[in-house]
Amino acid sequence: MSTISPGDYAIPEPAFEPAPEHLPGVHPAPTSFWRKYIFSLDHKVIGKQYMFYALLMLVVGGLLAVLVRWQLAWPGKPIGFMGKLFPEGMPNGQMLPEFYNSLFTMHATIMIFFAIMPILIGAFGNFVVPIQIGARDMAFPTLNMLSFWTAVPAAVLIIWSFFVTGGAAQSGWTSYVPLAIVQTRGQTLWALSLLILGLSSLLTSVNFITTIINMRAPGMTFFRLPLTVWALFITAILLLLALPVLSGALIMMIFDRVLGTTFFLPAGLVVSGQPWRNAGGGQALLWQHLFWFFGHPEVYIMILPAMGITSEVLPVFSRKPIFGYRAMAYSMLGIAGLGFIVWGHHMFQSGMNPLLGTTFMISTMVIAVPSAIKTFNWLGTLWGGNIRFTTPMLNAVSFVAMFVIGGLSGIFMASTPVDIFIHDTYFIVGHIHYVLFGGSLFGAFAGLYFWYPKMFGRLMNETWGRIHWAITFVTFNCVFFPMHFLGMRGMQRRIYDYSQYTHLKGLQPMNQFMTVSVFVLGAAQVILVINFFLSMRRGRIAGPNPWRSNTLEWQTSSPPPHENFTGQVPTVYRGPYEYSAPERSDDHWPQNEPPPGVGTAAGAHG
Amino acid sequence: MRDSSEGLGLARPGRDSPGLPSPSERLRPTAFLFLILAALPSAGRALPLWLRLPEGVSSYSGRIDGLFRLILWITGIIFVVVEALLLFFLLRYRHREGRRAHYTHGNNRLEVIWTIIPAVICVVLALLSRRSWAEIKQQMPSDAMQIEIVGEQFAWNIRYSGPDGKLGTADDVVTLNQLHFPVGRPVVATLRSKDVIHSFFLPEFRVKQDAVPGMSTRIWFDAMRVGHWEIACAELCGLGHYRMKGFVTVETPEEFEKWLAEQTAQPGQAASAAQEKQGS
Repeated sequence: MSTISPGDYAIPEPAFEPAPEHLPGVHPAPTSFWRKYIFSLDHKVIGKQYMFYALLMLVVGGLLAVLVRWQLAWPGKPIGFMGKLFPEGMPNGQMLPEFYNSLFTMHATIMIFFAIMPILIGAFGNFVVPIQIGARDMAFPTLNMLSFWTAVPAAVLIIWSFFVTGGAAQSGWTSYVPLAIVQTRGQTLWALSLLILGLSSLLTSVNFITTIINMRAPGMTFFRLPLTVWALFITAILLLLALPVLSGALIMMIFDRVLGTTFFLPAGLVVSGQPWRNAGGGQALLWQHLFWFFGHPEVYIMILPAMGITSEVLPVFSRKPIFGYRAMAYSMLGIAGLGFIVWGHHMFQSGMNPLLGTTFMISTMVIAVPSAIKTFNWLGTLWGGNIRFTTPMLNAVSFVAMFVIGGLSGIFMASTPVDIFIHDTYFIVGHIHYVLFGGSLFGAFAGLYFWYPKMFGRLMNETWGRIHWAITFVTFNCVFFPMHFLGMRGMQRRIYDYSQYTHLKGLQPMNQFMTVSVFVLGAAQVILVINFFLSMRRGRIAGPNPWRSNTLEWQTSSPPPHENFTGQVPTVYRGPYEYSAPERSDDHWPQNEPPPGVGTAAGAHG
Repeated sequence: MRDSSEGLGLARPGRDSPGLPSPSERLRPTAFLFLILAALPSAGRALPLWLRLPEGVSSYSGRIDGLFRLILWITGIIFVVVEALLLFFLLRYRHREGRRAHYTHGNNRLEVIWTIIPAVICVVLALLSRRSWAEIKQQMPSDAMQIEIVGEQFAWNIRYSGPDGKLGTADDVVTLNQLHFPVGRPVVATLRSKDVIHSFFLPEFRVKQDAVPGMSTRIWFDAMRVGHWEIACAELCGLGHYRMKGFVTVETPEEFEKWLAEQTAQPGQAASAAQEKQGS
């Protein structure tokens, strides 16, 4: 479907190619340390910066989760040295309930906004998209640099909030009002930090959309784009449409907290026996509508790029074209469109009119369909393949296997009556972790192992990669699958001490098992970190195309030169997944390799 | 709750089929499968506690559990099939020297099939859910006992009508964290909150509804047997969220009347304190 005959379009005139520093859209290669590594305009450097940023925050978010799990396994048991780090939240190492609330709030906030989004969109998006479409850089390199350097103060602010009076935000990553308004100072920093980060993401999304529409190499039609590019294109559109709504809501929250407005505060609010200082005329549910109008597309913002990466990795290591390329692209468009009309399914029990609940249930059930289409197409891609179990492939296949669980568990809460029972229980926590860890993070791992050789010129160690994958895969399931059982018992989420309740008696052994699994899961990530840094020096030299892949990023050196392609930008002759084509003896067919009898070698290989 | 196969229509082993040419041989595997499916729900009772839903005591808990199980069956079967196919493909098509992958870009008929089947399943599930949802959350029973529940950090104020049988009058009975109601008679509760959002959660009754400041939300529930249970808060409401617990006592109508009369006779400290804030 994406193959074409040589006569389908005119080959562009071989034009005079000026020196790289004078190419339109290309900044000269920097020479100073600051411009080369810190305030770089090069999308490849910015991509790597995002990657270090995201991996660092991933570690922070993971450690917060370990503390949460500690409390759940051994409620109230002190951890001595933590008392020194957080004397206010953990006096003598014993966790206070408000500190526990901060921990899960910040775990989710950091993982979602500061780890998953930057690694998928900032790191892979920035590094891969321009090369995959055959461009020399993003459309707006300076804006790109600004995006990254806007994201940095946001991270500083969110970490700093741990150390202000009263501690970090503690009203959940969803920050439902009025709780989030009557909270301590950390909540204002939380809102400010996300506001700044939102600006950064907005700049990035504008850049991606412009780049993908305008900067594609000759012959790179939309239906020859690698699915990663499709995924990031749609993600960028979602960001552009959804983020301003969150930003608006955050501004209102900050105003309510700081300036005494009452966007979210109804009349007659009495907090701790005192009438609240500024109450009247506001609507508590307004926040939820605004938040989830952003929040649901946000879920897809985090999963679409991982779907793109999986769709990229599966064909390469199955040596097969992706099954149903157009179905894949259209289903992503379908997810993006429907993603804007399902937000109410987070609010079935919120007091929203139950009739609305029914309409949101129907739209939610419908959005399951494109996800199902994608899953079946991934299966179709594996069918009849010649599958090699490299580390990127193991992680991509895990993505498919775990996304199935995350998708199916979503059907439970889509059904409004069932949601009555499982809403706000660990069933939901299990579901979101199967989508965000089992889905997004395994996708990110796949992308990391896959593009590492392109980024650093060397392959990561395959054996340690497999060990890391195996431990992560097993312990991930040990941690998160039992969450469904906890939810079935009715264990509420965000609860500091479940031993308070009769219906939760007897759940401690399971919680302890999950926490022990978390320790192993966390420890396994040390393997990844060591592998990541050691391989930069010691890894096997990758060469331009270690995976024998078709897409353009593999048709240039590893790492690519400053202007991505030496000489002319490549001309694209075919779709991205032409593997094992019967007319060729070689089982891969680079997108830029001229068909027999067309043109010369000019611009084909960098 | 106990009769879990009821809502599924799965448990119908041993259908006789007189007209078929070679009946028993061909039907044996099918019948066997049906037998297993019929046996599984009862086997579920032998499962450890944490694998089961809590007991259901309201008249609609069985319906919610039935839907839960139906979805569990459907998603369970899809899960097994998809993961088995995935594993099978991974093993069957693993790399071997000299093998060449099958060159195909897809199949439109397959795309149509795997679009329509999930769509049909999802629409059917939505339709099945719609009726129960309306009956649980939209249609309030007419002959119900009316109460008012007001959440605050971190307690539940529960208001009953006093001897005059009307809510919102001076003789109302207000308790702190004590929900009593008679068995068999539905209760309609108006939920409110003084400060932040709470969520009124009765796990065994399959009741959950947020109490939102500035809003009144009506819900109903009932109990099929007498007993003692707990109220939980399901929406994060601050540092004491985890201990915002109440107690449910379902008793015979006579016992309930007696209890209510006792509360009227000597309203506790909490009750009178809460009465002052009647305006909220």
